[in-house]
Amino acid sequence: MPPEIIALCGNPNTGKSTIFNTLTGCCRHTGNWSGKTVESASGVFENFLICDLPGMYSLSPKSEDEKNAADFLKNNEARLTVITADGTCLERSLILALQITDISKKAVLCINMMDEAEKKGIKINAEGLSKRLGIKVILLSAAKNRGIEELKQTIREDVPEKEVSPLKPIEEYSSLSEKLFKEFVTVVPNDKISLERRIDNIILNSFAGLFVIAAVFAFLLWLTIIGANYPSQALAYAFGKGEAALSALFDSLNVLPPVKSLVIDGVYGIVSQVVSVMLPPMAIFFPLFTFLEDLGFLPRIAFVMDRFFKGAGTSGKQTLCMCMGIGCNAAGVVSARIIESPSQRRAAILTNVFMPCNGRFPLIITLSVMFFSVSGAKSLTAALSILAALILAAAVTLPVTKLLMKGSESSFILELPPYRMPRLGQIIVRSFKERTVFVLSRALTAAIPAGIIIWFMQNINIGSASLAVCLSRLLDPVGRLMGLDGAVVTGFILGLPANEIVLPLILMLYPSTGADTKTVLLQNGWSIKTALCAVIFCLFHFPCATTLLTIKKETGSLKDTLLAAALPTGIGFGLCCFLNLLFYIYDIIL
Amino acid sequence: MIKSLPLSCIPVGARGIISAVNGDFKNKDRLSELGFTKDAEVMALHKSPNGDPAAYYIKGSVMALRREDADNILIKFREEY
Repeated sequence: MPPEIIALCGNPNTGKSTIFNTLTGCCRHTGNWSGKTVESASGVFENFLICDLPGMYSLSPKSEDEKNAADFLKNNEARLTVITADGTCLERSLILALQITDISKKAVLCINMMDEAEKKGIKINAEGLSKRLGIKVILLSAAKNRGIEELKQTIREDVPEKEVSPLKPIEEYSSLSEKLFKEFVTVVPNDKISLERRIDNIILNSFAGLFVIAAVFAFLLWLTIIGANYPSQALAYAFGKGEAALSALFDSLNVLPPVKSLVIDGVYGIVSQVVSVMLPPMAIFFPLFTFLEDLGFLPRIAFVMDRFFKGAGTSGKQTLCMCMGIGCNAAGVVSARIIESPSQRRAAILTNVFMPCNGRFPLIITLSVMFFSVSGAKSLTAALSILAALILAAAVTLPVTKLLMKGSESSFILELPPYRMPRLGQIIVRSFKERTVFVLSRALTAAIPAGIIIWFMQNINIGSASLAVCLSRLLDPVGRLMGLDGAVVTGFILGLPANEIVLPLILMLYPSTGADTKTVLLQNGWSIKTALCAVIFCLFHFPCATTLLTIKKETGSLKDTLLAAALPTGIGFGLCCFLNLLFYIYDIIL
Repeated sequence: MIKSLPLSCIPVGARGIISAVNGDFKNKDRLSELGFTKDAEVMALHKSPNGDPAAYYIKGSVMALRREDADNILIKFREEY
């Protein structure tokens, strides 16, 4: 017998995911902004399957996310529907709760965030409300574990079945919620201006918001870059030791030299590169970003940035996807589900690949520090280069979005949730488990086959040169046109599985003399121009294979997927050629 | 005496009661679901430097709206304000 389903539903940001986590013991990502639960997740609680549905505002859905949740509820497949409401804004939460109550056979209302509500002087008469609604009402504070036991007991014991009634016009629910609110909720008015409003007065009401956001991101990136240096070096050192040990092991087992080379130079080499370059920045960036998310900072960014996106025909919600894209473009593409309008969502997906993801940081930082920095300001150069990359990405995103939108559909309706102090322990565990490990394992699955293919390309010779070198010679004219060379272009192409391996690949393609990175590059004719063009092309080129697959899945259109690859590549190619021309003219004049 | 004003025109800190939401307006249902219905109390909390978008306090939550949306919500001021 399959387990019985318990559906968790309610407004966005009412703590559904927290309740889900407490019940199932799973660590599901909870973020303090609307639309965090992009796919319904399920987990096991005793004999029941708990389904955490995406947050929604009504049963007449506007976005893809809401549609799935509404369909699920209308089918009444669940043994029990657990409706979550926010105790701090119960009147609004009740509008949806009343609708779901009407269509459900068995439902229970959980009023969450009661600790916050009590602080705001809100008192709720749960018994009275329960009698009027005809369903059980539980007061909870899921984050503090209050009321959870009662909910568990309710799930185990089951509730009596009630009659299902058809949906009424939305205005009726709205006025009913107002009536119920007046009857069963007492609010002791609290007239002092809260800290939240003071902070928002600065961020939202003035131009200072832009600087606050820029400063927050600069600080976040700076911490990431500085912090990542040391563990990166340590990991590289450890992998070096591991390589020697592995090599000795293979020798003692008399493994054939080509096999040994395939495993050590091909697979192990790429994997150790990816891990030591990628893991430390992610392990720092994701927790910091999750902190901002849980704090409730992201919707404020959307608010402040909305004015720029209005001109492009979309809304500030796109910035939420862009922020996510800094972590990983594939994650950014998925997060575009929070956008209701299909055309705006498409634009957000197609432009997400302009955001420099974590995987591109290493190349940008390494080259910037090597070629553009004055001595002693390495970390500053690194942070500035990433900030510049972000600004450039945003500058390209806006006009391209406008082009894709072909006319504006002006609408921006977004809830600004209260600031909530994130729980640090949870952030670290969650961001590590859900993001770092997820992205890393994805990168490794791409890196291992790529390592094998690349090894073969380097070891199968046509005439006197390897396949890889032949490809790089073939592409050399294109590369030269862009101020680069064939090896760099080949590196980007072979690096399709993961952006992290582009720079290591380029280095592998050059005849190496075993010297450090900069020497190798300089020996192969690199200059400031080459570095600049490589950074630009790193910012604007086809996204990694995972992102492309995600775009295909999200849009269902091969054409859009190809467009998502062609657009940035075209822009990158154009920009590099233009830069090359500028340097050429500069050389002639001087 | 002021009778009705679009929500977009009320200054930060002012409270009013919604007297009507423009019926032909495409986002009417969306706004209703969020609590912007007749007789609901609303307060302007924050405005961007150019006034668009703005954040309003409605039924316990803070919602950001663009001018186009707020233009379609009519407000009457309560006497004591």
